[in-house]
Amino acid sequence: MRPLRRYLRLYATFFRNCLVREMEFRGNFAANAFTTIAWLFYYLFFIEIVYSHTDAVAGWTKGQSLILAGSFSLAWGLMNALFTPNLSMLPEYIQKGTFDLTLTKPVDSQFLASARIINVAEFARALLSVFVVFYGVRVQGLALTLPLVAVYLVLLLCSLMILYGIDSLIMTLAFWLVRIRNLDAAFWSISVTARYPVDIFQGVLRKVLTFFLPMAFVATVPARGLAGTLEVWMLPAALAFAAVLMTASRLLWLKATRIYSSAGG
Amino acid sequence: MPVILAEDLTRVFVSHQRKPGIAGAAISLFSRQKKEVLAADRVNVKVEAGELVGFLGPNGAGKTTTLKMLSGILFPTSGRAEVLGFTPWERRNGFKRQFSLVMGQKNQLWWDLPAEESFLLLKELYEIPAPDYRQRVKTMTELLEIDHLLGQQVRKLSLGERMKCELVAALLHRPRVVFLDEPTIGLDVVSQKRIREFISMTNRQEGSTIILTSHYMDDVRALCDRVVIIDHGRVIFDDSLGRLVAQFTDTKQLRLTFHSPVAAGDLEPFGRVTEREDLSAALEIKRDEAPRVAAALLARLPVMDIEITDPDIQDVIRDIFQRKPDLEPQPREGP
Repeated sequence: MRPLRRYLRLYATFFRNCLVREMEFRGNFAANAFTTIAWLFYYLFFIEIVYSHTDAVAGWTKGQSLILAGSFSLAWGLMNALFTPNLSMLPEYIQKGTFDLTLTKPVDSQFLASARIINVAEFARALLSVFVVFYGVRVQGLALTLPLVAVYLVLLLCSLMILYGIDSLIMTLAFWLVRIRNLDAAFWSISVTARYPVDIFQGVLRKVLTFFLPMAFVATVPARGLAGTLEVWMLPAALAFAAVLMTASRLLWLKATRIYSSAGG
Repeated sequence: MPVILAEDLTRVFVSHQRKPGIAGAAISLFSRQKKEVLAADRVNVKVEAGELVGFLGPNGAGKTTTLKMLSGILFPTSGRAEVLGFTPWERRNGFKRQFSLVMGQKNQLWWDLPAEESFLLLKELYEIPAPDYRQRVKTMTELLEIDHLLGQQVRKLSLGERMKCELVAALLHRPRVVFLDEPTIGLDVVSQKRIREFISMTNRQEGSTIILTSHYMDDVRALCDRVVIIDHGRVIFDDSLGRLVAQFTDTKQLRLTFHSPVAAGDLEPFGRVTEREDLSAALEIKRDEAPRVAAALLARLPVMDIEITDPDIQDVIRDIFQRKPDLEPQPREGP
């Protein structure tokens, strides 16, 4: 079977496995979906309040802010659906030695370790986020042209790769450090800042967010892409960040699996 | 061409030591002592196709480390190995498709899923054609009597049932080489027996080459033609079980039953009395003296039954690991 087809079939099986598992815990599934959607509504409410007093915040209109909120939620929704559940389990697999078995399967270990668990409830959130983006487009009165949507999708893909890249780089460190919990928590707290347009940050913090932790790219840049306020350098920069982070992630993974010393006798 | 070949396989683990207590923890921030553990020390092993070999040794001997290197999980510090023509730690998919590793203490089946869902994933991972897959699942689960359990979540199964599911999972893709690391650990006697039978049958019917590590002598006795004993990372014995006894002891056991009670004093001239009751006794005597002593016993004492056996294998191995001074390998006298 050709590799791409095989990996797609495998992915479909992961999805099926996870669906079966979620259905075994129906209450849990409903609660998860409810929580993530509730957060989204909370943020929408927040936007409504803010924009009832002003027309623009740091140059962002209500419509643009809605697009931003939706994009943020979409990027993170996809990230949490596809990758976060796997990466967050990695330190435990390494500590307990169950990672051994991942290495013996005839499939790329990074793929298996990153993609096996799918959080189906988060897809509900992602779907809802798409509606929020559409709503923002309407509020803004934008005309959706094909090039605009294409740019948006590309930037969103870059966002996903950036999020995956950073999270996997941090979690792969678990191969060297036994306890990763603190780093993980740091990543999460910084990532929350991506929720806001990077423009509201001034000076050094803004530069840091833009260049060192490409959080700006996660939501702000795709949102600007759709809103039509993209600056020329942003698209290549997003692509570059995504490429660099994915490459670094891969290289670190290869190095980590080489030095892996397994747990237990 | 051996299917499995290990040549001077060595693995060193580096661990960091620190002194206990708070002071120790503080000091360890600045300097830690490195401790090197030689888990595998120039292990040399050759296994031909279809063999069922047992790896024996105390905890920490290096059995599991060796298996992990042969599975490609660990890189060796030095030495080389070849399994099915591949170097295991290159982790080629072509290699991984043909072997299987079962670890008694680590499960590959998903806890929250029914076993059959995990089997499905393996079907996709190993690209097993559907009819072949269905037939294998049916045959193996019927043999192990777990076919009615496949729809239940794995976490609801007993340890024995879970282990049987793990075995089926490991053998779905008809691996040519199977590494079993303590497959019967913690199981009840009945499950152990069933699993042993299953392993033996797999080896015979499919000609798969199997390496089994175990603490249980019954596993080894029932399954292994050949035994490799590993201690402190070194191979100290590699031959059949029968030869193990011959090589490491020079004694025989005589078990006697009597018509009428025999006093201790009557037995002692013949050899070392290890057990004694009114109408039975066990004596330990030198191997080459066995026929002479047996004849003398039969002549002089009211013997009803006599049995001449090798010392129990378990005792032999225990003695090896405790390094009893009189158990250095004896030079074997030629026929």
